[in-house]
Amino acid sequence: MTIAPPPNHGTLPKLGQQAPDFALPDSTGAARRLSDLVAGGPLVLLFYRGYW
Amino acid sequence: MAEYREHYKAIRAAGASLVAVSVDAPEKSEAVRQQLRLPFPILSDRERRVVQEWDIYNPKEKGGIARPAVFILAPDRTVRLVSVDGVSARVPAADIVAMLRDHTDTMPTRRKRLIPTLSTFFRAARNALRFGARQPKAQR
Repeated sequence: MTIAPPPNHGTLPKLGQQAPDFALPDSTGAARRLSDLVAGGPLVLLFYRGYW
Repeated sequence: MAEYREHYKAIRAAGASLVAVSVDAPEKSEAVRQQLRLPFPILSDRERRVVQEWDIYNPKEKGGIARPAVFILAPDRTVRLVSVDGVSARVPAADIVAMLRDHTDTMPTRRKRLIPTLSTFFRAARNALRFGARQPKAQR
């Protein structure tokens, strides 16, 4: 069972602003950096609710 | 996700790529990728670090999950589209493809968020006529 971390107050990246970079593991465990993923052209970044 | 799978080739053909993010563990995301035969990577934000930093974190459901959201980022990470949904609706993938195809580098300023409008439905209908007949109906 997962304990929900308390919410913090981040900021939604706004239109025309530069989104902050991040590094996260992909489904094979390999680290992927946003700035690398986007470097080759526009990137569609999809956040979804997850598996249930 | 399956809807975006159906539009993946069109997204790539428009010169863009696609990445999904959830708070699931990588093993779960891999299971989803295989089950839905997704051709794009799924990143795992288990610590909810990115979803909180980006203010798309919903702590009230299922131990804290991401709110459904779609961004289009330019190669320098400039936000070209941002859409965050309260529950589970999201921008139709066909609309994303249309934006990428049209090289809509900047959305008109009056549209700070992409919300469903009449023009969205007309465009979706037009895209359905142009592209939809050959594609299976999107699954959710």
